[in-house]
Amino acid sequence: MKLTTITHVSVDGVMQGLGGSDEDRRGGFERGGWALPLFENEAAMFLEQVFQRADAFLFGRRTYEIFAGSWGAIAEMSAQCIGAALNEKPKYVASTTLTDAQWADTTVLSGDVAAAIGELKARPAGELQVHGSGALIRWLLDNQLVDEITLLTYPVVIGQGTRLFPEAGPDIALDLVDSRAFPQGITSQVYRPTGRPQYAT
Amino acid sequence: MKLTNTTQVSVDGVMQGNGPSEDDRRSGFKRDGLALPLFDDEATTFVDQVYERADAFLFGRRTYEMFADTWGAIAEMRAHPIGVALQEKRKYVVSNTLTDPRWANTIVLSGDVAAAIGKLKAKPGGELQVHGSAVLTRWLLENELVDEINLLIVPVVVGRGTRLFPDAGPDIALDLVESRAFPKGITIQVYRPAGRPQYATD
Repeated sequence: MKLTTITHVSVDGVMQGLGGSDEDRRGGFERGGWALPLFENEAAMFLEQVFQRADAFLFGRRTYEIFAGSWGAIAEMSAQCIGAALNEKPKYVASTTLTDAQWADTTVLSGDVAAAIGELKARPAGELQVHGSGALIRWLLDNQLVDEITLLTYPVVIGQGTRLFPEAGPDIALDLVDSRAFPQGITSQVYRPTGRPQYAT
Repeated sequence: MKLTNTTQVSVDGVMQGNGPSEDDRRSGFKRDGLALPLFDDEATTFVDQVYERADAFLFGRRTYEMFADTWGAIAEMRAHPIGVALQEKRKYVVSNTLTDPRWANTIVLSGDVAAAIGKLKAKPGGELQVHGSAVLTRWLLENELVDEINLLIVPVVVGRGTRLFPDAGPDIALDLVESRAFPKGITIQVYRPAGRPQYATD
């Protein structure tokens, strides 16, 4: 399976607290809920299709628990197509602390997570999707395990909060494979990592 | 004149060292020159046309000096469409230390810079362009003086260096007015600031 990441970010690269004001207040973050007012039908359809084409999902512990408590637990969310995709397909969660996963069809990956993900990636065809899960994505990028990065960029500068890409991280060349804009100004860019960048001298 | 900002950033938002830079290297930044290999003809033409449509330029001191030493001083760069636009049009530079600008047709703005820029913006028609100038751009955004932001996003993660948007800054709603992709993967997004963002309540 190819490993793909899908991340909602602001123009300044922030991924924290997109859904609601109380979703994630870590670090004194006060500007949660920035994504929903900009999310219209076309962007929603695009995102639904992404979830529907997944063959399995891979999460960090924190996003897994948020999703299990919402998409997995609230009837009207489970019935939506994103909820249906999440409930139907196998879920993997990378965690050294989670032992008793509440959500059906969940496998906890602990110990040698790189090897476990390597085994999943070695399976022929299919798509293993990572949503949210900032810490996990940074670790996957550090370990060159990401095959495709989808960035949904919202037309807003947040001015605080956790960014997808760290201050100090690997340098990565990317191929742009898709770029589009939605009616309220969200844009989607799909990139594939291709090794280290070339620097002009 | 409307005040527009044009910045080249990486996918992780870094604006430092898009071109090869001795200055950046001296300060320990080793990942300079990332944008050049990714500039194809279409992206180059787009940037040339941005410079050509300018009516005047506004710079921070550091970018001004870098541009004066390159676009203003090296014969083959002066002859380039960007060089020609920069020579011909008026240049404003915000600085409290610069007194004797070497580049012709330059006016130094010091003291009440916000008022000086306000006067330029009040002139009817035209476009006052900011290129590079990270410190100035952040100050302009904080003071709500920016009318349009052209972000050229270069398909690379740099993993180091100064970002256009600070860790702690104002929150700004934006209207997307243009979006396109160039053959080698640079994308351009044109945004207009539109006040404060709307936040969903739980």
